[in-house]
Amino acid sequence: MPFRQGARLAACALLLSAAVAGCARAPSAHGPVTHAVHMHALQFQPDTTTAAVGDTMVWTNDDIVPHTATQDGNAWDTGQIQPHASARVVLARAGNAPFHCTVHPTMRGLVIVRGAP
Amino acid sequence: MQTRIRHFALALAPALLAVLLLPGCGKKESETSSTMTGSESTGTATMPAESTATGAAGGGQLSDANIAAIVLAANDADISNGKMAKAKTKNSDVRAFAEMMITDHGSSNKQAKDLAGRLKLTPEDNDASKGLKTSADATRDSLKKMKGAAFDKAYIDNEVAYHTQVLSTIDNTLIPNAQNADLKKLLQDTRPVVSHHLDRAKEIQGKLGGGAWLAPGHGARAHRTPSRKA
Repeated sequence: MPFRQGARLAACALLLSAAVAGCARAPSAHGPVTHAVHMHALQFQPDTTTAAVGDTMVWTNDDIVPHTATQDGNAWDTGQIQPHASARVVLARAGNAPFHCTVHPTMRGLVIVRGAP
Repeated sequence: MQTRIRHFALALAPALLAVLLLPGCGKKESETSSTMTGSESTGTATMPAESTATGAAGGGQLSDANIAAIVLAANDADISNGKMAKAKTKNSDVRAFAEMMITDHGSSNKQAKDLAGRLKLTPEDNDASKGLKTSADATRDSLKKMKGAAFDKAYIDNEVAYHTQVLSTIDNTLIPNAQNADLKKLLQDTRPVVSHHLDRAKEIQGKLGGGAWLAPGHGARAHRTPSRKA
């Protein structure tokens, strides 16, 4: 009997840790996740995001000037996002995807895209 | 010799801007109530004891309507310079910078106009905004006569001096005097943009080997200790 209770506790703990990990990271058995990045004071915040193939990135421009989020190899590009507007990109490929703003090239960010589980 | 005169004229423009945008410029003597602090202060300008959101430009204080006019004039000046630079330069860095000026200051102007519309605030020209236009026109006239590397250097040197002065004006004059919270926020949001422009202009200036005859912030009172409205 004590053995069964211990096993249950362990299973719950495992489940809980998996759930916490699932919250921190987007990929999951629960389907694609949306990751928010703000463009504020000419910086991407956060500047690094870990996501999974199929997840969606949403960039919101909090500045008074337009920005873009453009993958360095032009694999994806939001085009100009006007102040107070947003744009989204669905991540189709695994790998590191550094990106920048074409209007303000010193604005740089990174999306680490993991393969589907 | 002619080139040196042009350089002198360009060097003078941001200095003129500095004087025009100083708090207290064109004020009546009765409006003084100075609270300059800090041992580095070399200015004699005064800050008004209080500011009103609807005060007339002629009254001496910077009202929100005055500030809106200054913002629009400052943006217009840099948009016009940017358009000229974009048309004249062959340098890819200078061209990209000019395009950024047109895009960013155009967007800034749109935000300012939209806000003015929401607040039912009619931008009211004043000594500072008028002086800014005059000074910007003079700078542009000088730049028009230049070409090639000399133009690139003069344009970028002017941008460094101009953004240095605008940044100082935002910090020391416009934000402290803005009464409406949304206008103050717009000015605060403008600050990192101007700061970014200044950093980028300095970077290009370094590549062009500029800045010899036009030191950033060379304006007479560019390094005053910030003074804020009580």
